Amino acid sequence: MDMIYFFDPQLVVIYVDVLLNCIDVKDDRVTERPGSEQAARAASMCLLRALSCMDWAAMVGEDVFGRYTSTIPSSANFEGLLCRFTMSAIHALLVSHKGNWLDWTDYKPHPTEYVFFANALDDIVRARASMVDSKVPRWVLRFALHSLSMSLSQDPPPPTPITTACLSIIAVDLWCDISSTSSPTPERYANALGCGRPF
Amino acid sequence: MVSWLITQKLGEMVKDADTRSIMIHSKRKALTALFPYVVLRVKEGDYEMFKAFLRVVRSSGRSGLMWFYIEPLLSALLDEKTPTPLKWAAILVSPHVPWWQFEDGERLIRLWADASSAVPYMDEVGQSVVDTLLQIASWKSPTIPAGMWSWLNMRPSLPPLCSGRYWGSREAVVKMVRALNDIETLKSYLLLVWSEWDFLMPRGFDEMCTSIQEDFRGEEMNRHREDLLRRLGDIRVELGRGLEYFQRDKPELKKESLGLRQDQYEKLKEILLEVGGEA
Repeated sequence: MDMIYFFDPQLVVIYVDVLLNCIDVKDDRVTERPGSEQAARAASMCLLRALSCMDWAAMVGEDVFGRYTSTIPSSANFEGLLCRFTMSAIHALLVSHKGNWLDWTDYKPHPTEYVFFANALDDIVRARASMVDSKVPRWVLRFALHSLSMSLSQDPPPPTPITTACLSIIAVDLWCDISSTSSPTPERYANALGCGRPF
Repeated sequence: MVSWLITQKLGEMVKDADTRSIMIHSKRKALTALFPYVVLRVKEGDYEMFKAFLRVVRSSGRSGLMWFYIEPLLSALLDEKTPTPLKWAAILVSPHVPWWQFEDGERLIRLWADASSAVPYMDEVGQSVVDTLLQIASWKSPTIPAGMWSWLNMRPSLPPLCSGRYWGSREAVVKMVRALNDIETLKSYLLLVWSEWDFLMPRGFDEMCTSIQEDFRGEEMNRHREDLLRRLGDIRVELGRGLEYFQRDKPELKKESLGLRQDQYEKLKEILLEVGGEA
């Protein structure tokens, strides 16, 4: 897991390649290669984290987009994958922006992974906020709705950083100036993983 | 800090009467996502964000939130085991909920009715319950628990923008209240839906005329007729304030619409006096 926070954003292309090497695509169905389930999961998280540090105004390099779409069709189906939600988020970010097909109802990951995921989405939303005509994708707002609803109904509620990330996502969409609030830091990924080591 | 910034933003959204509807509509997805957090603040005893949120929802009507996504949460908030402050929050937003769009609307209405009785009475609660009751009655009457009609007798003051009062003047609702055979409730209903802020639905208006002639006839009805006449007198005074006064809250209002209201309420007064004269 170290690579998740000791990564170099320039290596995003490599993360895409690693991820694509862990999966098979037949028709629209995406499956993990036997024995690569955990590797696919780690690679998808690395890629999501890398995307959260991308310069979205310059857009994810052609290499990333080209590599990804050459293997994974726009109508890809991620049902049954261990990393279904992370892959779905990546797919929505790179290909299918509205992400109407993304349903969070069953999203109940381990708290560590949940915090990591929420932080990554928060960072991506913040990074894209400066782009002209950029809107927070509705699937991200539905993620916030799902997570905040869990905060209300689940006992114990999801960890506080998830609520913080969701609020930040909503604030960006409401055009609140949150630049003076706690900016994204790599430490929170390390903290999310319980490592507590400096970045 | 972010929570505070969002609360401030909610306040800004309702400031400009000309643009707030468009602004709120364009942010309905974010507002929908925010709803559970607003309720969470209430649960923790902090009401500031909820108050700001409620102003936004009230300014926008049903277009302010994507209620379809909130149905499960709303159901949970109205549940018997839910703490009272959360039920209270759900009841205050209930007039803006499109109940008829929900798959499980009838069950939700029963939950709403039970939750209403479990919350301590305040004028704000009464407003919301009556507003919601009249809306539900206007489209799905059989599901209303009979005891809910007694809320009309609390006669809360209804706000200028009130969907329940508008839709509640439909013929079906007038007939439903008449069928209760309770003159106090019928009078309370008329006192609530008669307002300078709305005209009465034409067939509902006709049914009200019939009701006055049939239900409020006789000497024993003097007191009730006096109450109704007093209300009509107040409405006449308010209508005299002129178009500009009403356009502050209803910018789209036309002069002809005010004229129609004046005619309707004059006619009701005429019939009441006529029935009284016979007594």
